[in-house]
Amino acid sequence: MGANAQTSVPKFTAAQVLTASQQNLSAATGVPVFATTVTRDAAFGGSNKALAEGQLCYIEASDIVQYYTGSAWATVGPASASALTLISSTSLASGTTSVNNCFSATYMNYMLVMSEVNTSAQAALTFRFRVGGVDSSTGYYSVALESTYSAGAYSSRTANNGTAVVMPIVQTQTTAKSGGTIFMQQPFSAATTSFQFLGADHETSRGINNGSGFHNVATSYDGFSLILSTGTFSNGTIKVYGLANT
Amino acid sequence: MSKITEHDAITGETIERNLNADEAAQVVADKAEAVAQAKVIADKATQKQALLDRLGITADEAALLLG
Repeated sequence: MGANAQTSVPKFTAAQVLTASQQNLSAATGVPVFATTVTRDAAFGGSNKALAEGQLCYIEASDIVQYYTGSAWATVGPASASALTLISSTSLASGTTSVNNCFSATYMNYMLVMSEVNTSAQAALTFRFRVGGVDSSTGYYSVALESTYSAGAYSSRTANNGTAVVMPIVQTQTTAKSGGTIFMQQPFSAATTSFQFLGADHETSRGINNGSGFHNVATSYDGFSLILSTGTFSNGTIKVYGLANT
Repeated sequence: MSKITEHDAITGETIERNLNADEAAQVVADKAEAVAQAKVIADKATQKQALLDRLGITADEAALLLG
């Protein structure tokens, strides 16, 4: 039990002469501190202060602040900090889907998740960073390794100071729906940006696509584009998550 | 006319519009590049199979040799 923890919430009567310890205890009861919820519950009622709606307390055992609703204790905080925060969810459409204003100074790193992707025709998929609604079309360095489920041998697609990230993480199909994940580091910083992507095709005749690279342009970007080499997205979602800095 | 779908993460607004001239030119270039990359991969696969045929071994057997 810590130095601030108490075992009662005293109630004083008219004309009562208070001792120093009672005064100190009284001064400390703005938000009374208890070791556990058991000692908290025992501290109210009887000769002590009656428990009523609006009462606050701090519980040492769980490091939380609570308030009494009139019938139960509810936790004020701290709110459990999430490592991942959903920033945006966008339905894939057209031949190009762009998301603007999803990167900011709030997060250094991001995770993008594509799911249930389908397209009108088989096409290669590429990726570009963008700012102010305009794609950046230079300075991409990436290698995408792809392999069919049957062969296991890799072939590669590269961008060597290319115009986009060559990222065939979703070789399109007419029936199945594929998915993939892209991680990226510091896209909003005015610095070069690195990225890694993982994809799995749901077409049994096809396979997986993994790769990584970096964008050799030291610019702050607020968004990105996903671009099909032909056809249009007929289904799918791209979700952007911010990874907590701390 | 090719189109682009733009989503704003702050406002939640989504629009579909025609590509502007620069974007349309980039799409043409992208398609050419995609075709070129696909051709490189296809050519390599063809060359690999031709070599396997000349050697009289399968891809699995070649993998064993190289493993």
